Amino acid sequence: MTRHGSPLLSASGLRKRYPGAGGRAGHLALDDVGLELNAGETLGIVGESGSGKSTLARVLMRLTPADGGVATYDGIDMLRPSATEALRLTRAVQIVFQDPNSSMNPRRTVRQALAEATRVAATPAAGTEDRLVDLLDSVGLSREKLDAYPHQLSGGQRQRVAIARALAVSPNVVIADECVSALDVSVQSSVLNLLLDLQRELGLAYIFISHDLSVVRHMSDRVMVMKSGRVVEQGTSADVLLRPRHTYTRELLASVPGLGDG
Amino acid sequence: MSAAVDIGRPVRAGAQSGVARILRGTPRWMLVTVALFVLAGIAGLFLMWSPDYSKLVFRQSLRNAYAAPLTKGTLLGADQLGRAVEYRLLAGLGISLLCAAAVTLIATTLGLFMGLLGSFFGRTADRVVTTVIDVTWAYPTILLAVVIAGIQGPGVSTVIWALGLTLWSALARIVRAQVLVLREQDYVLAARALGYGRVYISLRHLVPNLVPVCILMATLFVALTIIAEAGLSFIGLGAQSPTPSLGKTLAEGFSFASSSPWPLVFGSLTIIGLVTTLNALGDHLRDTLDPKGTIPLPRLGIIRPPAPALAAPDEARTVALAARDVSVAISRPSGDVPVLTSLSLALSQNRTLGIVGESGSGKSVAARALLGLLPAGLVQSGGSVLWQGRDIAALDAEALRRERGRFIALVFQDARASVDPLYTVGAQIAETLQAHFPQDSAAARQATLGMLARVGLADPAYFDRYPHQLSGGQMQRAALAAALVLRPRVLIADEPTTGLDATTQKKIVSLVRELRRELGMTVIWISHDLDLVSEIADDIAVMYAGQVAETGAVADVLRAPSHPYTRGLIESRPGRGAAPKTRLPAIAGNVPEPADWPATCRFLPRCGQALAACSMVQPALDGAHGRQVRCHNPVARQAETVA
Repeated sequence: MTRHGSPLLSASGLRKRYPGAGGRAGHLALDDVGLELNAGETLGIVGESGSGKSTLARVLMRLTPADGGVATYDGIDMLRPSATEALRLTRAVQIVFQDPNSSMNPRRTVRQALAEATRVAATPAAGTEDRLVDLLDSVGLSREKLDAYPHQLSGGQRQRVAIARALAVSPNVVIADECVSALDVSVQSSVLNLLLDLQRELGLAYIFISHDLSVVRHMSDRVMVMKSGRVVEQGTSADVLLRPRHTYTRELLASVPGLGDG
Repeated sequence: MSAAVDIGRPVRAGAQSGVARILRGTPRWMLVTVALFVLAGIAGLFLMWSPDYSKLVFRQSLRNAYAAPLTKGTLLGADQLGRAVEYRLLAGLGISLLCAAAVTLIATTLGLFMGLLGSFFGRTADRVVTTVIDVTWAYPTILLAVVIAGIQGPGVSTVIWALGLTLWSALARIVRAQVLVLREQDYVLAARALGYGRVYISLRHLVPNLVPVCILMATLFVALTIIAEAGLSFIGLGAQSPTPSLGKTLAEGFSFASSSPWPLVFGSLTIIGLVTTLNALGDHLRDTLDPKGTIPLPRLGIIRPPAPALAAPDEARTVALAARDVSVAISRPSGDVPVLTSLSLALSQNRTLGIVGESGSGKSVAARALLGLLPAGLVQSGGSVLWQGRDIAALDAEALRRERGRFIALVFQDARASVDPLYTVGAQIAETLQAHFPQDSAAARQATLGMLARVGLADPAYFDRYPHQLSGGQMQRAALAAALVLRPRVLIADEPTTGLDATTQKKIVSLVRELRRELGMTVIWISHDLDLVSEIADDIAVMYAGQVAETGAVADVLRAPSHPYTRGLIESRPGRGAAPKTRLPAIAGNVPEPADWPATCRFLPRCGQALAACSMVQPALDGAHGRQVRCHNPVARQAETVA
């Protein structure tokens, strides 16, 4: 993939309005949003509830159709791909969601969840036992977990399986949508470490979405601050979070307990 | 990577398929009764189609007409043609159950298919399906039966089609509603992100999760068909002579009831028995499938006889709230599982105690125990709670109720769930005030407006707003006003800002700090967020696995944590020491479930500094000057041994 020069993934002018009840104007979730993501880097996206950060993730994954704008990955139109392009996109860009309680189908085992993902992958080893064990190993789970059901796993373990499922297609980009927010504090750090290790080993690029500024600052090279569907500030992690220019970013930083005196 | 490997909970044996779980939990008598009816029906069908049927049924023909039970070789008597009632009923049961099976098959398949089509295959499909469901829902079954009978004549198949083509809409509505929730589950989104199509996702991820509701509706369909078949056969649209069915037996029995009541009596009893059992089964299944139905029945809280009041007179004045060795357990038939062990606290006036812990640490249970208000299924298994020196076990229910609110108040994480959505915010606060301090409504309104203004909802319009008209932050302010309007001495705030945006959280925190100073309250602030507690509390208690692991003044504990767990929590937060994009110091493993707490040190499986003693003796909470730690090898001592 493109290492230098043009970004790996770029979007501009993204718009999305959710229809309101009874014909009212509705809620403008994305208002002219753009972003650029280079190979191997992490773009952090922060914002409060309703800022549109999760809608952005869903639009990039084609889980929600955008009303307008462009998004391209390696020259492919991400919003309206052809069938073959859609498969390439699926193999290149994956997502990990927030809720460890709903990340796995309660009636299916880890093996079934991972096998479903590996079938989409291009590699010939896809679906073999070795591949599944490798995947579990890469997220720090042992092979005994292969036949476990979600209720037999802890929240942290289920989130590791969700990460393994995203990795099953060997993607270049992983979108992490609040992926540690619902985890216990003492488990969060080990999942963050896992994401950092995987980035180093596999050269992954992350779009790391979170409301937690401390976590975003730790994970990101560049940061984008969203408010009411708009990007209000972006730049390097250090610039935005240590020397914020927009008043909203300053307000956000001031309300994080303990961030100043760390 | 090995340091981060999770220590799993013991794996429960066997795969939990939904159907198997449902069957295991169903009372034996229901299954046995339903099985007996089905076997009898099958026997009836074999009987009816056997060559000897007419010989058996007619026995001695018309001479036996209207025979009473146990006479003339019959068991349950004979009908107007001399046919033995027991054989007619067996065959009728067979036909009725066959009819019910066919209806259930049609209605369940159609309902599942249409429900899925409406909820998972786009807006146009949904509009069409919803319209069809509504029309079907409104269309009377009898009218359809008349139409079908007009086309193909009356008979069992008319009953089957008339019921099958109307009943499905009930299931379709439920399926549609469930899929609207299921389709937003992360695993469904993940499958879509992997490029899987709607048909695949429906079959693999949606249908298996819809099986329980289909089983529930199927039992209702069977019961409904038995009754509806009786009705339709009664008015002549159903089974025609000589085909027996329960409804047909009833219809004929009714015509000749004055000559012999027995066909009618035994026919009715069969229908009542079958339908009652099916409805009981349906009720049971609904309770099983409804998550709210699985809460264990409350056992009345066993409160131990009051311990001798240990509080010295002077202590009683400064200590607002105290807990002595309070233990709480989940009461299960298999034995009690402890969730809170030996909690001892003494809270002085005008101080804020932060209780920090992760999920399952027992912090919310501690709050409820301090209120004397344990949720159903939890029992206090030991210890005592003292409110200003008085043991609450010695207070009667009326005194407890009065003191809750006046002396001690609680604010929940989900403020919206703690108010009635049908009344305005102001009315609910004023009502509380009047219940505790009788006064006219004008005075109560004034006091409420004053308190609402105090929490930052100064506009009098807020008094008349309904809960759904307030934002999350405004709702939490209103909840604070409701808790503080009685001017309690102690306020327990259980994760009151979790789920709120950071900017809103900051405002609530400073509001509580101001009010505490102004009203001279004692505040217990419960949170999973160490940083947040460090901003609001004077003292801190760090809880782990149902015990206080460490307690002391906030500044002391955070600057020099003694317990390895506290230190782990502090260091594992990003921004505490590790440079950006480098590995964080992590605590290995997971928070254990109460049933899996080690008998020795509960932190042992996750501890990196364990000594030999740690796996032998459970450490006690030990220390002086308000600084206590539950550890054989506290952090400070480790530093000494290293140095």
